[in-house]
Amino acid sequence: MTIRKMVLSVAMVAMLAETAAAQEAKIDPMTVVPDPATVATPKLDFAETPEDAADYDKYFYFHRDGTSFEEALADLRDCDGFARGLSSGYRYQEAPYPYTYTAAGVAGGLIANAMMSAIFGSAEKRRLRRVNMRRCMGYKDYARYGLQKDLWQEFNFEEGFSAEEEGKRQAMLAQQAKVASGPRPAAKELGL
Amino acid sequence: MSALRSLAMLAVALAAVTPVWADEPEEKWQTRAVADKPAPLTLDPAKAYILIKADSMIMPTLMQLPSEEQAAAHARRRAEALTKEHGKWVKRHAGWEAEMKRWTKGMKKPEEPVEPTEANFGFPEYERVHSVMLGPQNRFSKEGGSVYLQEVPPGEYLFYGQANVCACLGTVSFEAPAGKIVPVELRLSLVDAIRDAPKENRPKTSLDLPAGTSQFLLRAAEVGDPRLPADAIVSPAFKPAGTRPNWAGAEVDRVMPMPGIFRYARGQQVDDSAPPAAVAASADPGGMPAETPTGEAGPDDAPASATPAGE
Repeated sequence: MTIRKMVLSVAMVAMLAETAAAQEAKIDPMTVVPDPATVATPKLDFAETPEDAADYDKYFYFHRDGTSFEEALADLRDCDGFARGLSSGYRYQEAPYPYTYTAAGVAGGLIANAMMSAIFGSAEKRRLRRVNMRRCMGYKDYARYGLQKDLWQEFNFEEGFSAEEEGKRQAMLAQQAKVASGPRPAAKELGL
Repeated sequence: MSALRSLAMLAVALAAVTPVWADEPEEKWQTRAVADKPAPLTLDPAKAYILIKADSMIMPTLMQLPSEEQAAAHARRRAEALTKEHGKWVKRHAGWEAEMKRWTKGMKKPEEPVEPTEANFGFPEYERVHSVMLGPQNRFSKEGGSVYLQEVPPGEYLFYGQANVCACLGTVSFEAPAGKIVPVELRLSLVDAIRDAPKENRPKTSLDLPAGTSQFLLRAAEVGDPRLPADAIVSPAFKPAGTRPNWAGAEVDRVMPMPGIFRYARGQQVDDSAPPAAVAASADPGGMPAETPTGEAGPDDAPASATPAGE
């Protein structure tokens, strides 16, 4: 092999490795930041009824003035990570290769998870997610606005015992980020 | 909240944070609740003592943060565990390859075992396995509320949360020196508001607390217990300790800002205890207005970004 061929081979290997790494990075839905132009803007207009308003503690969206799509997505992912708790998470997920030192540790974790499920129930887990998202985003100075349930379900999810599929979750978070960084809503702010 | 539910939460929290190092002789990380006895307390000079005072029975969780040496030792343990686990994976993977050679369409396809790597190896953080939950029983004193006294290894301790609420969105740490007692008062804003507010204004949930009020207020506790040696009591030097993972899937909140120590700006702690130059560097490069010490939110149109403290 000539030196030129060797250099080319090394360059090709390096390029392939770089491409593979880039592809790997691109397919990670938890970290990729989509082009906001490709993210569909959810419908937010609706004629409010008293029933809608009574459910605003469950069905809402966030907005903050002067915030870019990237900032909003980072904030939503951060809060989503806190809201998920042990089940997975953006920054805090249980690692893909979990390890526990001792049998006691394994048993402790299993007992904790089983008891959490048995005691609190799926409805409580869903409520906790809403509380945690509201508080976390509120502390980041996002305002909260109410939404009709049907419209909310188009780009939001509830999470009980079963976690939302990661690709869908991230797609919805991206839509929420588009709203959060978009024009200020005309609707009334709800507070934390 | 019912007593049964509180007990269940206690059990869950215990199961979730009980140190799993206990069986490993080289670690020897132990804590002990000091019992309520009439005799004056004799301190073990090799141990530190954390006193937590509250109006009612509580279940706070404290976590020891590692020193540089402890962090290095923990990293070594992680590396050793990873090496060991990788060795097991090599065998499992060879088994999988053999199964794949026998596999044909129509059979259930064997699942390739995940290779443990530096990036994906889920080894618990130091503080997660050096944690202790105090209370709700085993009080050192019931005079004027509930006082808990815990004997712990000396070091830096983090307030992680109380009962089923973690201070994951912003907390503090403090040193617990050997042979000393560090008294901390924990005030629970929701409990205070329910007790103090007129009936029509009482919050129903923690989300109903006044704007800028989070659920935990920590400060130095006043101690007048004659059983405690007065010359061993040192006031807690609180430091902003940033955010922490919501390991137990709990409700998340944060510690109230401490004037002169830290405040929050868009959800991130800004260290006010550092020298002025360092504050300027660690706070907001864009001049973002921070929340006031009472925690009121800044204007919506403030520019973004602040540096998390203590992370």
